[in-house]
Amino acid sequence: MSEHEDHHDEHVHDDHHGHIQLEYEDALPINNGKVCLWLFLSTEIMFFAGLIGTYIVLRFGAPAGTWPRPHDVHVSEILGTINTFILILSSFTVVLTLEATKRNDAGKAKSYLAFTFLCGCAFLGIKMVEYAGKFEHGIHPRPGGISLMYEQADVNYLRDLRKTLTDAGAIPKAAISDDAEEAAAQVPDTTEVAVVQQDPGHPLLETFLHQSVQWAEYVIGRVPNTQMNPNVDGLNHRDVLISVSQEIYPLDRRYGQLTEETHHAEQHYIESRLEALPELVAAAGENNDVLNMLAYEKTILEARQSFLGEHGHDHEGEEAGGSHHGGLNAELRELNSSVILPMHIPSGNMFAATYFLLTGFHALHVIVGLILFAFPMFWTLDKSRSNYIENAGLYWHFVDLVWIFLFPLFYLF
Amino acid sequence: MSDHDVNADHHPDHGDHGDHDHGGTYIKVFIGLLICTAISTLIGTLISKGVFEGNELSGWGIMITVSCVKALLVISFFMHLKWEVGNWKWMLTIPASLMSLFLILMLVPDIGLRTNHYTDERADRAAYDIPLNDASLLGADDHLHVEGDGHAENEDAH
Repeated sequence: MSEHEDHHDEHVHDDHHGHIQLEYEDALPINNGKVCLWLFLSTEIMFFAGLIGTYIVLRFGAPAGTWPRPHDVHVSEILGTINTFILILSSFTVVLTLEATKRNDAGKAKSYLAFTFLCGCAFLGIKMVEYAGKFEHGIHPRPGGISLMYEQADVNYLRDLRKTLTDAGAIPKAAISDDAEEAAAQVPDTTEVAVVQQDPGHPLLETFLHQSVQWAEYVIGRVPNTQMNPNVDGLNHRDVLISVSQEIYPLDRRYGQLTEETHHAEQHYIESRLEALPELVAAAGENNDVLNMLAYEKTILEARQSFLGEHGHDHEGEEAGGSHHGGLNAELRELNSSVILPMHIPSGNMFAATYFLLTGFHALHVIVGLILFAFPMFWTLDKSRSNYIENAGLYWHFVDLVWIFLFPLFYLF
Repeated sequence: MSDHDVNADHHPDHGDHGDHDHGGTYIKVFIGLLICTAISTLIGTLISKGVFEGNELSGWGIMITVSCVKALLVISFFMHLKWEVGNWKWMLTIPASLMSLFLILMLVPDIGLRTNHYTDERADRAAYDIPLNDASLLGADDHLHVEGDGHAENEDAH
């Protein structure tokens, strides 16, 4: 170096302009690799800011209370917290690696680096468990495709519900025969209906079809109204469908009150309708078509009434026994059933799209970071490698930085 | 590499952070980060338990502030921007951060506020229970007085 500088000095007064360029005063006080990496990181800031910003705007622009809470979509705070801890710890050990490299302590540097690498792998492992858990529950970012989340509990939802139940082999218990009296007599005795036992959840599915889906279909077919103009009994399509959707997959502290009110309205409607039915039967005389229809209606009303009775007891038990977050899907899962019924989760698909996009891109960055750390595992980490370690470390810290924002936004909000 | 050496010669300040031992600082920062995480997690748990019911915004605000503090800790110490010499560190971080902020602000009018106004037609067919104050935005015209039933239902619900 000194030779070089002497050489430099000798020629400083020369007119030879080439040597003037050896003045390095105006260069950045850091090595080129670091300049490039910081440039790259500043583009990365904008990249993730775009993604995170989009999420924030969608999340808080959703109508009040319609974005799924973490528990609604199987986001576990505990796993998120563990992953946060892992990333912070790995950031810390990267710093220690760099310090050890600068001290020329190759052995220590190597062990810190190996620990960092393991932390990265653990992070990805937990991420994998989390993704698998969501896929198992039908939480996918693809509405109309493999996603089982529905934005609204509407007729499309009901149709897909019916289709899922039919595909699973559930048969409505009300069999309509030509003879009205026979049909009416058949109804209370449900054991006569052939049950195809393919799935352990089969009885649950049949009961649900009988007590809830048929009822919702009945309400939509027979009770004309909209939200703003409920019929005289206070029944409206949307609320009935929502309360049916809550039997499958209750959302965390969302529709409890609405469901309760709807059940009261249902009870009221069913009672008045059942009172009116005998008169209608008498008026129908010998008309078998009308009698069949009335008998069918009676089975649906009675099935719903018995559901409401059971539900009333369940509810009391719930209040006594503490909070219970279950629903039909959870019960099916406990029975090892392969069936997952469509769920009504407002903004659920938007959540899934942003969740998988953001955490997916973050996980990709973790993978890149791990590749950057994989190379130096085969090197002797002496002072000459400190630039590489520093730059790889800067990248890793940035990955940690992104997670610092993703963690509260997805796991805690 | 030789580039770096030459630079170092001309900027003796630069060698600073290499020679100093920041071990103690790093441990403090690490502990600070853990405390911040604990605060965020605590608030998140309280929110999910319903403690912040109706007041979630303040909880979210605290969590985002804590996240910003964590980010600053990581950038200043772990990425040792605090000890870097020169203007380049401001050049590369501040414009990008500002742009990030504007990116979000640009999305607010069209997307962020997309559900602030409901026409009565839309409110009537909404998949959600529209809170009363949202529905009262409709009150700007006379429709609500005509649809007395709907208004009554909304009042009942709340």
